[in-house]
Amino acid sequence: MNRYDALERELTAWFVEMAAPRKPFYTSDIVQLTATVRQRPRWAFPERWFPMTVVAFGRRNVAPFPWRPIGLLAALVILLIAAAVFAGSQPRLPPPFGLAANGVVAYTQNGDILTVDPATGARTWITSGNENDHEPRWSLDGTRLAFLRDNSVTTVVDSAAIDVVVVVDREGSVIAKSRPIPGIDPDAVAWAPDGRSIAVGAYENIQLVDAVDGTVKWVNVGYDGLDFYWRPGVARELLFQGRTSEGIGLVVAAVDEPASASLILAAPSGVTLRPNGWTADGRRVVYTRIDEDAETVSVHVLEVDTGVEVEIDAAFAHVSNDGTRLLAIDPAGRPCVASVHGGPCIAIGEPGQTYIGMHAAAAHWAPDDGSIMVRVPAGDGLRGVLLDPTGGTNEQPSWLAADAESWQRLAR
Amino acid sequence: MDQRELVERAGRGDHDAFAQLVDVSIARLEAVARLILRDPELARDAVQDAYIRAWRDLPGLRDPERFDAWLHRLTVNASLDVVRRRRRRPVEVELEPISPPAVGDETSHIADRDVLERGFRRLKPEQRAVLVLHYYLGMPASAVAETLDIPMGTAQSRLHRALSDLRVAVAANERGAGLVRHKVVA
Repeated sequence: MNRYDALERELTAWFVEMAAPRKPFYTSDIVQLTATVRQRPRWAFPERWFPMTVVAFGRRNVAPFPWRPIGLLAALVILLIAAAVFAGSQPRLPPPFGLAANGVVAYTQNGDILTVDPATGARTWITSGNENDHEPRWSLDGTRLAFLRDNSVTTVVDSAAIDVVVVVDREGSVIAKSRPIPGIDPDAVAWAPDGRSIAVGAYENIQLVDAVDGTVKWVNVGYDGLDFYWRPGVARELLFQGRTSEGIGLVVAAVDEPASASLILAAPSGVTLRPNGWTADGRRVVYTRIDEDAETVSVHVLEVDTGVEVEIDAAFAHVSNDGTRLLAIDPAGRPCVASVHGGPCIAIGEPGQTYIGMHAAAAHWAPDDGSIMVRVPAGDGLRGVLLDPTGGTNEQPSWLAADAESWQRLAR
Repeated sequence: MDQRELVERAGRGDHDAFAQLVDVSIARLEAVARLILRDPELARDAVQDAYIRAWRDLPGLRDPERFDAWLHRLTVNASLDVVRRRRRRPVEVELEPISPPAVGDETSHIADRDVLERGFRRLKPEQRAVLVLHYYLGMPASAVAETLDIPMGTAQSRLHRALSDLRVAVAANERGAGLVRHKVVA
């Protein structure tokens, strides 16, 4: 059997697993709603009177309204207005890594980007309009937001999703827009610590989007896809899973010097090393080791300079801002917290509170490390939950949207 | 009473008959909309729109035997309309599996799911639609074409392209995740 066949079978199995038919709770609502709708009289259907060829002729496409040029013009006007009115003093900024004060949380709602202030519950629209915006990410100094703008719906059907990376200030004024980039992994979007660019993963490439002029630069560093992490304390260096001339494994590369890519830990045959982040001092790498032959999964914390590492019986970690703890999944599927120095991963929730996915954007430590923002399954949808990393009560505050994506860092 | 008779009666304004049609079809349509939209709330909107259109336009359905295909077409179109109308990006929504995985397999199960999930999310809703019709509902390309009201060649082309794009996305993710694919396929 070839690989093509395997994927088709796998897709079918996944569909069946993920979308088992079940009668939704709103069935009776729909029945009642349709009872209030009048049926069109039979004579009103042209299909009843004319051959289908004639009916089909009448359905020839009408030239669509030129939304795109108008949208581009509107975006240009917004850009000019934004440039004209841009002014103001810079506030005190937090460091790009380490603890910070909690700011507002950015999230997606109906294709718009909003922020909500956890302290007051006040919501602010950052974007609105016809565009389909999603995946907001605060810059590490909390001054700007980057997000993806869907550029694919109005283009040809037979193409992958295409997004534009947009950078706005805290009020939503556009600062920069990239060219359309196909195949962006929505979970592989990360601001550089210096705020000069945003790294996005698109298929097996890392693209650097300039946060000022929107230019896009391909970084050829042997990236193999999925998450990547900027290294604290070092200018513009990324950790990712990739390949160099030395082999496959965890790779660190300076994005401005692609030739600098170096393998810091080789993956043995049958083993995948999936990066989960850095400790705040930039000295230790946290990764998940997936051993396909032994069918084991574990979290490791590796001190890069010495090679000393500890193993934790958990998987898919998210490192706290202060770099001392990590959130992971324990063998029973529960969210748990462990020290980066090793020891047990202490459960802080039930299996049902397993956070969604294992990618970087799946869980967010609050900038002050006082809570962890996750999404959990709830009935037919998702709900946002704040996990207490100390094992206290997990909360579902009214302000927390299920689509919460990014927590703004402020100076302490 | 068989489906054909229910369709005919509903087409003549018998709402009780339509309610029975809803009852037997809604679970399947809801799953289709959920897969295309990756968002239960949007799926609910799409399913509701589809049934309203179905009830309103049922008198115009000439062949009751084509009711299922017609309903699928309404659902797919309603799903795509929801995307366009509400401009909302389908987000990474976890769909509950029919039965929870064994406790010991939880982490690897999440890893397996994550790769396909991420690959599928990169596709456009139109691409997801052809994959769902073909690989979830088991429709041959000819039925996909009929459901989407597109030529057979276009349906085959879209299927091929969607699967190809998914394969590229999965391959990229798979190398990163290091998953044991044969576990899933076996």
